[in-house]
Formats: sequence, structure tokens, C-alpha cells
Amino acid sequence: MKKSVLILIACLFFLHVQVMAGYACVGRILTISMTDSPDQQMVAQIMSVLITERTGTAIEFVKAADVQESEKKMEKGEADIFISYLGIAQGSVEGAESITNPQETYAIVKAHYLQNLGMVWLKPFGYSGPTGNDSTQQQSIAAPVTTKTVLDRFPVLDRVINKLEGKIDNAILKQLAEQASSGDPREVAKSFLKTRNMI
Amino acid sequence: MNKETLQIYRAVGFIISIAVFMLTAGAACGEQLVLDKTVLDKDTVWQGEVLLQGDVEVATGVTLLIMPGTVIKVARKDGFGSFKLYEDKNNHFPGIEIVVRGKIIAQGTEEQAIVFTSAAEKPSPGDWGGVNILASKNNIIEYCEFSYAHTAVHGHSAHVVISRCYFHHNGVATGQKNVKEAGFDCVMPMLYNRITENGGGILYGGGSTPLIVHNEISNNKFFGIYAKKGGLATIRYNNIVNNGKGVILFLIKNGMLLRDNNIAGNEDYNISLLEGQTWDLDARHNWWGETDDAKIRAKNCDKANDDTLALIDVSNATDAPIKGAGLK
Repeated sequence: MKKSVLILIACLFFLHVQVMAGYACVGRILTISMTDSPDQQMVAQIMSVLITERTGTAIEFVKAADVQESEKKMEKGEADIFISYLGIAQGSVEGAESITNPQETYAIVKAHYLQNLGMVWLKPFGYSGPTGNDSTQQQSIAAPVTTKTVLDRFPVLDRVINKLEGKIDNAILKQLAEQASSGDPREVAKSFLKTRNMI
Repeated sequence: MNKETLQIYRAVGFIISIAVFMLTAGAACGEQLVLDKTVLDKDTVWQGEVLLQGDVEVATGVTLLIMPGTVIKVARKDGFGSFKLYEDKNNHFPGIEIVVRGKIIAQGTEEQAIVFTSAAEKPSPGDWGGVNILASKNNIIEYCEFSYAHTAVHGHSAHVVISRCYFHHNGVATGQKNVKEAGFDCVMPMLYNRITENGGGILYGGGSTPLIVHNEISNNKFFGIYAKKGGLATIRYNNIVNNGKGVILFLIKNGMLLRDNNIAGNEDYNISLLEGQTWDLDARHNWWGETDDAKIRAKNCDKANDDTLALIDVSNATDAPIKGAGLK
């Protein structure tokens, strides 16, 4: 278990050491659920580095087959934050399937998730993700999703993650993914944030 | 009685007291002592080589005396298995711990340090939990070497002097905080220690107010000192150099006495304020590795980077390294 979590501290920190934070007074662990898709792998690393660097919180990753499974992990308390897409989420919101305006879709989906699932859609990253059957890619905005409970535990999480709003468009994501394919994704993420003065 | 005679009497008295202690306490000597999960319920002496295969607790009212030159090796075990005495993750670490509720006296010498390390053939940070001192007073850890622990020495409302020790390749060298249940605050002065190549150096929080003086804190992967909701610490005459970050502050309201240190060459920042750190920091009169004011400020993360953060005052910086800082 220790080895699986290691993340941080390495974190720990940061630490490239395989030690689990979140015990005793070292700190808490925040769990990011992600799929195997290139965008999730890359953006999850960016979120991880940003959270760790700006809050000192250790991060652990859990894998999910798809966004729906990530959502289930959130409901079960097995994950604290994940990346979702409006184009997929709107399919589960009655009456939203036919809406074509991305901002309107975002508002409706956000309200639905908050009211029915206690989940909070944070601000979109700026790139478009995969779509559901009835959606266009233009409106399948990618955004981080967490819960009210998690925000109670990590009170500055939304403020930190919302700093990524609009910072990762399709072109940037493609560029980052290419860099990560031939290097260390965590280092790519760190470099991305550093050059934007975010860490 | 002259001064010399008095010193001789004191030395003889000390030797006799140790001898009496060893006669009355259980003493390990000769062959390697192997301990599975256990609670020490009477005064105990360790010497020679000790192998821990499970948690060891020093019970309340009991003293564990560790003699100079003793080597304590700890088996590598993951998580919270049957080898643990406690499963409470708020107060305990994964892997094997030495839990101190009584008292630990681990005083090596310059020539014969006491060694706490992993028993693994290829050790790595986090192989074992650490020495975990919980609501306990009158502890001494001096001339000891700690390696491959999760958090090598950790205290919750612990009174322990940590001096002349060497911490390397641990997840974090030391951690401390106050806990209300103890009824008293943490007192864990860190003096003349070498803390290098760990994930993190010194972590303090929970209102604790450590004295961190004359330490060499270098080449730690993530941070040299991490002040996390801590109280007013005194941080002087240290070399805090070449770490990922030199000093990190998170929700520190009362500031810290951070003067007369050499804080330089840290990879990301010499001082970094984390999200929510809205109380300014007085960091005057330190050496920052250079004299150019703009370059000094550029190596700190504060309001200049993010409007929501506080300011770091680096004025009155010295124009040369602080003499006598570090292990001198």
C-alpha cells in the first residue's frame, strides 16, 4: 500500500521517495481518479503538481476505466477529484441533451451535479474532451469535478485548481502530451506550471 | 572539595548510575537481540545490535536506554499489518515504529553514534516508520544516525532534545505538533543536526514552536523546513541550502524568528508561501547567496507571484554568508 501511494512525498513529497504521506502529522492525501486517456494522464499530473506545490498536500492516483467509473469512485469516497466532460455528463441530465450552447450546458450540468450528487464542477481547463452520443466536441468542455465534502476537507482546493481555468487549450494539451510521451509527465507538468509562474 | 575532585565524583556517579540501571533493567548484549511486536513494560537497555520485526512500545513510566554504538535495524514492512501495535493513522506511521510513551535516552558519542536504519538489503526511504514520541517528557536523542524511515523522529507533544544527529534518506527527518489531549505542548529543539538527502527536512505544525538552531539542512528533495500551522519558531544560524525549497509556510499566523541563516541555492524557492498564507513574514538579516535585491526577491514565492499571498520582507540582507551558521 505504501508503495502504491507514494507519491509524494515524494512529495513529498514531493519527495521522490516512496513514502506515504497522510499519516501522523505529515499531512493528508488527496486522491485523483483518472483514466488511461492521454489528456487525463497529463492534466492529472498538472493538477497533482499544482496541488502539492501550492498546498503541501500529498497526491495519490487511482485508475478508472472511464469517466463514469471515476464518478462512481467519487460517490463511494474512493476518489476526491476527477476530470469530466460536459459532453458525457450532459447525457445524464434530463432535458440537457438538446442544449447546444456550452456555457448553458455547463451551468445546467453544474447545478444538477451539485443538487443531486453533492458534486462541484470547478472551472473548465479550456480544452475539449470526448463526447457522448448526442454532443458535439465543441461543447464537451473538460473540467475538474470534486465534492462539497472534499472541499470541506481541503478548503483551498477550489481556489488552487480554478487557477487552471482556460490555461490548457487543445493546442497546449497536444503539445504537453507530445512532450510527456518522450519524457517524464510530472516534469512536463512542473515545467508547464513553472513557466506560467503558477508554482 | 576542589573543582577537579567534584568533576571526578560526578563522573563516577554517572558511571555507577548507568551500571545500576543496567543491573536492574533488562539489558540486551552479546548476540543480536531480535524483537517482534512488543511492549517494553520495564526499564530496558539496548546495546550491540538490535533487530526489530514489529512495533516496539516503551510503556508509560518505562525508560529505554540505548548505549553508544548500538545499531538498531528495522525490518521493512508495508502499511498497517499484524506487526503493528496501533492502526490509528492519525498518530502512527506505516511500517515498524518505536512508540515512546515512557522515555527514550539515546545518547551516542561523537565516536560511537547510535544507528537507526533499515534492515533491508536494498533500503529505501519509508522502509520503517520512525521513533514516534507521544505525550512524553525528558527524552534525549543525541549523536544518533537515522536513515530510511518514514519520519525518523516524530513527536506529538513530546519533550525531546535532538542534537548532533545525522538524518539522511528518510521521507521526512523530523515532525512535530501539539496535541490537546497531552495537556502540554511539544518541546523539540533541533540543535547541531545534519539533515540531508531526505524527502523533507524539519516539519512542524499544530502550534508547536521549535527552536531550530545551528543545523545543516541541505539537499532535501522537497523542503528544508516546512512550517505548517505552527507557532512562533526560532530559526537561526542554520544553513538551509540546495533543497527543493528552503522554507515553506502554510497558514502561519504568528510568523517565525527567521534571522541569521544562510538560505541559498534552493532549487525552486528559498522561501515559498503556500496558498492561504496571508500573514507577512519577517525574513530580515539572512544571507541569500547573492546581494542583488531583485534576484533575492525572485527566489521567493510571495505576493509578487500571487496577489492572494502575503509579503516576505527580505530587507537588511547580509552581503556575505553568516559566519558560524550550521554545525559550527
